[in-house]
Amino acid sequence: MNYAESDDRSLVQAFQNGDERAFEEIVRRYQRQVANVIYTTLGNPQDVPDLAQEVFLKTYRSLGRITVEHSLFSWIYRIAVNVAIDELRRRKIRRMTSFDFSGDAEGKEPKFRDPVTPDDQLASSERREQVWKALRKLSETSRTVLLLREYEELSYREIGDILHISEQAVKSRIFRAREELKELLKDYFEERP
Amino acid sequence: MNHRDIRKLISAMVDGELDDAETKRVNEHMASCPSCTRYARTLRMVSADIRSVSPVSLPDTFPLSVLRALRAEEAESRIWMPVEAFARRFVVGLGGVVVLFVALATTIRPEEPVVAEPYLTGEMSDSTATRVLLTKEAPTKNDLLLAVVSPE
Repeated sequence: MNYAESDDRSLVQAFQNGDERAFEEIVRRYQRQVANVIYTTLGNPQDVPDLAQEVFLKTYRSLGRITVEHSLFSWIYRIAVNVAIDELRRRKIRRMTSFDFSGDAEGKEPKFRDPVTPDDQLASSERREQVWKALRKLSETSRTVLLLREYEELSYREIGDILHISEQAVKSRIFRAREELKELLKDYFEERP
Repeated sequence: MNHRDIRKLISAMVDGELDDAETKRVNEHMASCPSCTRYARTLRMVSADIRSVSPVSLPDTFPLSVLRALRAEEAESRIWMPVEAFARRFVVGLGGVVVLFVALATTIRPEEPVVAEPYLTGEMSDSTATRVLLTKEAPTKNDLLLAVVSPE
């Protein structure tokens, strides 16, 4: 079996027949997306390896239940979102029940790529940080569609397939997510000529 | 079509999800609406900013480390399996004993000894007062006083 060229369904089938190498390929195929979900939810790159591992351990244990109607990406993506959100909740609870104000729970801000033009380096970098912070404040529904669109560069139809919603619903959700983002970033974007 | 509807279309246009006719309509609107033109520019800028966040990457060996973790987990569960099975049987057994005990305690009660109170059975009391009063056909005031103050 050529694992790298097999489609998701064949990999799942092979895994369900006891082929562990199929699972290894599944991990390789979706590790980037899982890492992105965790990173954008928690904001700290150091959290990514352990939580990504937890996501795939849960995937391994649940993959026996996946059927042909499910999209593998959607299945793993849901697990990743849940793991990241659970971790975020745990940290919030820990923060509320302790006197740790070090700010670790907020996570470190990510590094940004260098701006294209050096002239507006400072403004651009600051704006990106604000965009990043705003992105993390979005509701889970809004963040998910936006990430699938911006990071994964999926079409509305592909996003709809993953989330089991219509293309029209995807269009509305992305629009709403952008409106939320715009509201959060109004100091940066409003009334600029 | 109001501003909000147009902006929804602008959002889809930024994602390349509009057909030619819709794109034309939006462009015609934007030509006469600086606010919507700014909106489109803002969306493109935010989109570029989101994409500019450096993606985190996991090492190429990550799938192997997941498999290693799975094997470690399986090995650990193999170690604990007999203990877990014993604990499970123990808890089930203990539960059974408790249920049995409660059932027995509620259904089988020890018989309490029947204490026959003399005044309930009609038996004559042998107290001094009774003796004093019953021996007198017409007890006097002194007999009554004697009956009252007599010890049992």
